[in-house]
Amino acid sequence: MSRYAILIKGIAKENPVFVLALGLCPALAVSSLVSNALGMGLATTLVLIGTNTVISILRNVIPDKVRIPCYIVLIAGLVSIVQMLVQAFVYPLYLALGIFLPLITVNCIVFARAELFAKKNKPFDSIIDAIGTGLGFTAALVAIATVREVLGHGSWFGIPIPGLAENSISLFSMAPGGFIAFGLIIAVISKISKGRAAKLKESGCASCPSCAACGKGGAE
Amino acid sequence: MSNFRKDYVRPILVLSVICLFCAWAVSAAFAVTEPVILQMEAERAREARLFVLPQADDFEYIEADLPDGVISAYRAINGAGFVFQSFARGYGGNVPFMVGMDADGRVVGIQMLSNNETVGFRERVSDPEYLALFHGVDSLPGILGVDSISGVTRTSDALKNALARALQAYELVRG
Repeated sequence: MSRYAILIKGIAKENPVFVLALGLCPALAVSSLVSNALGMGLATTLVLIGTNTVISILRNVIPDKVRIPCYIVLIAGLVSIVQMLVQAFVYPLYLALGIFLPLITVNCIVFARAELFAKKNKPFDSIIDAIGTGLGFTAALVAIATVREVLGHGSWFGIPIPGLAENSISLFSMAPGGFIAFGLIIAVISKISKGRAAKLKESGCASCPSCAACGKGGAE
Repeated sequence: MSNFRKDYVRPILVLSVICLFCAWAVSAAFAVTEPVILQMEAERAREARLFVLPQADDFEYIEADLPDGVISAYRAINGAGFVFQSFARGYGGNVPFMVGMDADGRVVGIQMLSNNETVGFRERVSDPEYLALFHGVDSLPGILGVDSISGVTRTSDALKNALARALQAYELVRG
């Protein structure tokens, strides 16, 4: 697979949120404002690049048996460092992300890329994969946040939209609005891709990281 | 023997080394960021107190057995008044407020702190115009004399209860 293809697949064909349905928790929680969504997306991308790089470099060192604890320790360490840096130097973002910043540790996207890609590929390809997936996640968050901020706050990226600002639907800035916006976007994507997006092989049960342990691989 | 090494020794060693390295990296990042974080926190707390009591120059913490619902009490060094942080139950749990009072116990500034009240409703209580109605109030009847906001009654009540608690604290610390 060419590097360009690796980069692009994370953004479109294997978009973590809209196609693989990974990382929905932060995608729904931190998408009420475009600025927060962008911050969350970039923080996750940063962590992804770090973890993919480290795990790819160590892919021949880490024994298969203990790879999951190793990944978790590495990811948690990196997230802690990012969290402290954000708290010290980008405090408004720290407030906006709240609990979801430390929760990047258990973000399935980070773990999925470690297990599905970085484990088997060279560091440079893994960085490209991390950037692609991270941008895909960021794009998805910004898309959901655009719907929610325009309808819920009557603004986009903090810029008020005349006519909407006075008639905002506050439901969209609350939790249910996240689900509604997500559902609407998924519906549009399914319509455009004629349902192909939802049936991607990699999102199936057989590709689950716990497939071997579960023993029901592919028996969907 | 080689199997034993491969199956047990190596995984344990690798995982231990990774854990040690991560612990070292996290503590190094902590050492770099901690002073910045602490300094910014102190600065923000000071600014928040100045916001409700702009006449003050600096604040000192008051050691006292404060009434229920009052988290902290600060005295302005220049005698401009006091700042209390108190909370009361609203619609979505406790709602904390920062309350500034002048030396005679009159409310001069109120700020709503982060809470879980419903977005879109709490803004009507934290609206500076509404909060300004409480300025100059120095007694419980005074607090109750200000109308609650219909539709946001529970959050309005939280504000009034928090103010009442701040008044109690004032009686305690005015010395």
